Amino acid sequence: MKKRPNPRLYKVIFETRYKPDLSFYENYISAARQLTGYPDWETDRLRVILKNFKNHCSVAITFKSFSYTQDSENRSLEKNNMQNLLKSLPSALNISSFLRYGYRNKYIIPVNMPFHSLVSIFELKFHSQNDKMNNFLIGKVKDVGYSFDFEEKPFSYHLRIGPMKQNQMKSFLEFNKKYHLSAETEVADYEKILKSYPQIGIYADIDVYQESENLEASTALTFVNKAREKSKIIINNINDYILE
Amino acid sequence: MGTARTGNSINGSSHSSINDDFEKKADSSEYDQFKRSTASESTKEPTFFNEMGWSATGLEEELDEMDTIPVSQSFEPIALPQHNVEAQFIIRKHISDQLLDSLQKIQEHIGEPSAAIFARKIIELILDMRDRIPFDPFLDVAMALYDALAYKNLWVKYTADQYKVAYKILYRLINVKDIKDKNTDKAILELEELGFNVLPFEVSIDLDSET
Repeated sequence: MKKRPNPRLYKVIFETRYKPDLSFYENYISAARQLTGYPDWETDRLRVILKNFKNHCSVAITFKSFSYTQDSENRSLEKNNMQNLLKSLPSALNISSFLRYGYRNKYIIPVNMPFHSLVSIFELKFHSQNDKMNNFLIGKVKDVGYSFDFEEKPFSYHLRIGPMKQNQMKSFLEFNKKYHLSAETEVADYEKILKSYPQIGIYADIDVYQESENLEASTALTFVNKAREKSKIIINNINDYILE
Repeated sequence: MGTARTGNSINGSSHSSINDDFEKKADSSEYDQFKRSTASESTKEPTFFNEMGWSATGLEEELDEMDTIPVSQSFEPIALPQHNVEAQFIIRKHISDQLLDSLQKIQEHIGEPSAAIFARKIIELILDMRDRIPFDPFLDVAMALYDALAYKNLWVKYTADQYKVAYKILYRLINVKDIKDKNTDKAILELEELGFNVLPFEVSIDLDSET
């Protein structure tokens, strides 16, 4: 049995949106204080950002949304932080219902082959092998990228996928330097992070979301747990399909 | 990942840009391999693939349009960089799954007009394989089968049992990552012993008359 490379998680973003309410400004600082594990913070009096440089994660609370972002592979950290966030923030901000949940994972599956080979595999597996299509794709295909939107009620999905070189990963993985690295060591740390990206890999951005006029606040954590599982299933199926 | 595409031009600038791209590769063995394949393409006699228009699409037309070609700037067809074993294996596996499927289906339709659909599919898949992974040793066996089927519609003469054993021979090799010459030779001989005419173009030489 051929051993396939493991997909690596590089970024997690969770965001939930709600109807703006003026009472937000009375509550947001006290709500932020309920969250532990974020030694650094900043505010412009309209929103508050809580930061943890060591774990490369942050929480942003604004008048119409709050979000959690993590630039690391640590799943158990993400699970704990999400649980704490969704347990305390909705009640602290007096939110009883949401308008939208979004849970996004960015992965790289490192591969041990030249870029042109990976492009060939993508071309073979994703393109229609119709002669008419080959007529307008003149010459040799040098690079590809695919974007899919699909739906499985109650969830909807955006999926972006493609072969990627190390020098492109920076702009697609979007490591949050401002909130996830300390200013004193930012340059050196960021350099190290960029160098740690694989030379060639399959990039997959899986965005699971749910929209409705009235999403009960108590369903947020269930959504996150299900979305996480869906995301894992999708990335494993991608890995199986492309590299089999 | 991206959307930019460039054509496979035969002019010097395109060629050098591919070389530049490979210069940047950290893996020098891969680069050497590419250099070797480019060099060999430029000097060797026309190959089967060249004759099939595989590596020099439009070369003849462009040459016709040129008045003179300075010797020092002679054209070199752009060699397709060789895939590594891993990628070759994935591509082979993907095409072969469909090939095996068609080899199975043709057995059920032998003697019926519908068999032609699967015969055509087999032939097309082998040609696709030839275009995509021309350096894969598995292709030697696949092309032997191609010759046995495509020449003068010989596919129509083979029995379901022959296709069944051909399926087994190919199936055995498909999952071997590093196929050796002895494996391909053995498989081709087995196809021949099975009754597949793997050398339909052979010329019989009367040795007695020469002596």
